[in-house]
Amino acid sequence: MQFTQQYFNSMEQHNILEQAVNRSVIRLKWILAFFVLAFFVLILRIFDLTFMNIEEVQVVVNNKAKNDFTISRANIVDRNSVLLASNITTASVYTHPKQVINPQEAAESIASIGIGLNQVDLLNKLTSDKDFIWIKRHLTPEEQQKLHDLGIPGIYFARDERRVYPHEKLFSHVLGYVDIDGVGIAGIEKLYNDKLTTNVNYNTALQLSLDTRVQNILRDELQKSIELHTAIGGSGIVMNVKNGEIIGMVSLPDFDPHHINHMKSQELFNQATLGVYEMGSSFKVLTVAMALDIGKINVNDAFDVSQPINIGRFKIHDYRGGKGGTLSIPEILMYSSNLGSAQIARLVGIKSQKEYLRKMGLLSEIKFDLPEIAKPLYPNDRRWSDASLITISYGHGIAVTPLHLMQAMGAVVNGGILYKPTLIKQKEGVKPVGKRVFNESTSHIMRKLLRLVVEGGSSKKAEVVGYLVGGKTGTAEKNSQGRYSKKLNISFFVGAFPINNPEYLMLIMIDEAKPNNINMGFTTGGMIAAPVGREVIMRAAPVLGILPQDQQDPEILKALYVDYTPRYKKVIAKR
Amino acid sequence: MSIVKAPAVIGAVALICSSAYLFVIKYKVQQINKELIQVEAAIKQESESIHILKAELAYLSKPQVIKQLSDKYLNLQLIQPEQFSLIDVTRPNMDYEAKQNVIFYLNKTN
Repeated sequence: MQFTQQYFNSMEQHNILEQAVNRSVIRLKWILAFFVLAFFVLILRIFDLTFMNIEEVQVVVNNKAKNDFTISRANIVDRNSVLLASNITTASVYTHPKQVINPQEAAESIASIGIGLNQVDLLNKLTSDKDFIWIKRHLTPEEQQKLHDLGIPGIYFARDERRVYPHEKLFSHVLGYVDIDGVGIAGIEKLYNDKLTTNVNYNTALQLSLDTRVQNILRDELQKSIELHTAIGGSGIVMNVKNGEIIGMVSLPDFDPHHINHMKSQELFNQATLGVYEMGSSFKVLTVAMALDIGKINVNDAFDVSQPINIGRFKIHDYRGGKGGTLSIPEILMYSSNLGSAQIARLVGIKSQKEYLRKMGLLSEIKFDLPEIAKPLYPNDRRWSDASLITISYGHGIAVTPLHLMQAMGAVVNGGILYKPTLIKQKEGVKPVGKRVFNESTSHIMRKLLRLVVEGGSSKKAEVVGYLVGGKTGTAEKNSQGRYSKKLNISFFVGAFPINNPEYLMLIMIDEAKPNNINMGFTTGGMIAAPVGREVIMRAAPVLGILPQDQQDPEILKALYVDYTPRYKKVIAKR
Repeated sequence: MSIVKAPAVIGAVALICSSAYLFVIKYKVQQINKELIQVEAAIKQESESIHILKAELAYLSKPQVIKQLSDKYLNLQLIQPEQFSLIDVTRPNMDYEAKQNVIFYLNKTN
């Protein structure tokens, strides 16, 4: 009985034991299953990492691309992609004055290495209670090294950028300049400041219509003439008459855009777009063109220019007594007769004169690619009298910028269409938008007349055999203190070439040439400005791809033939 | 037991293989990435140098400098309009005519 009891007890114990073991095994299986599952997840993840997941590397690569070399202001290039302005990286040195241990000693040692810093200024900066002060902007690498070698605590370098103009003075008035922080404050740099500073990488550039070679020729020849005639300044523009692109634009004296602190106001002044001048006889071309266009005259008409014209208290004469007798229309231009042009203007009338001047853009500001633009000066409607009509016909009593005259003359020679001048290179193949001002036939006659002026008139000195120059000179007496001065002249020449199918138009202006042996005392457009035009065309035409033509070629002679009867009879000099 | 053992063994082997492979790949990637960073830095350095050199080139080849050098080393004169001539390739005796022109202009200038 006892055994049985024991047996049952042990059986019971055994059952309990067995149950416990079974439970453990189940738990172990669960744990095993869990681990196997976990390892499978790990294995899958490893496979995933090894064979599938390659994006992580790409992310790294993309981030690197963002760390590429950048500049904060786009380059400016000319029409042939020659660099005109660029930002280069420099180092600037600054200080946290509170971190400088011995300002006195630091100031002494920095001043002693000769990087253009003054000890007193330095000490003021180093002992200032500000947190941050620039010590010097835009160090040269050599200066940076010298300063770095001093190892002064509290002095730090920052990456900075500086605008450089490799051509220095050559483009000063067109490009303008930037301040020390690289913000444009004149010229293209100012007007296109936003465009030059948004979405910039080091390959982007603003392309101008200018040609560095032509610009250089223009500046060179103007400079020579200014020196030769001890003039105070000058200006020149070359424009493509078929779309208004400015190829060259110079105003002298000019300035070095790297040293804007030392500039004089007359150097900063862009005469080509900001200066307004009475253009003198160059305006006769416009007067004749408008009269031809409305059919008030034709080429064979003649006018009596023997008597001076009286308007109120003024008496109008021709230059140096004129040619006397009667002159035909071509001769009025060739010999630049004020009296002839006055009579033509009377036929045109005030209303038409004003309307044509307005159409040619001579009565309003030109919306140009430079911020330095000027409004023309002219009499208001009430004061635009008969006297104004006459003086304006030969370029007095109205003052416009050289750019205005270029715009208007472009329409005279290019077939009658006015194109707005621009400094931005136009896309090739895009038809330029212009406004018709003259009939095509008017423009064709004007080309022939302008050719005659260079062949046998007042602009003879602009002739370059082969390039068929056509143009007109002008001489304006400078108005000083309300009086016209006979001695102080501005000399102009406006010319187009090749005149049988004009491609380029050029304006030369020389301010206050002094009488000397070379100009034999004549400070006129024909004597001063026309020879500059000649030199510029001679040098620039091959650069611009204008092929010389045989001027005796019957086809060219026929194309430029003017059917008129010369009226001027040369009188034997009567002393 | 063997039903549990088989996948465990396969799993363990696969784990060891793929982790070894992963290690190698990751190591290579790290190496290449380091190189990449160096190359990127070098590219940045070089593009900055190129950028500065372009400005220097523009400075050294500006017309005034070329003029000075040409005056110093070359004896060149301004080309005259009459020295231009069109070569008409359709003409059979082009070479002869071109030669004649050259001789003509040489005689004229001497």
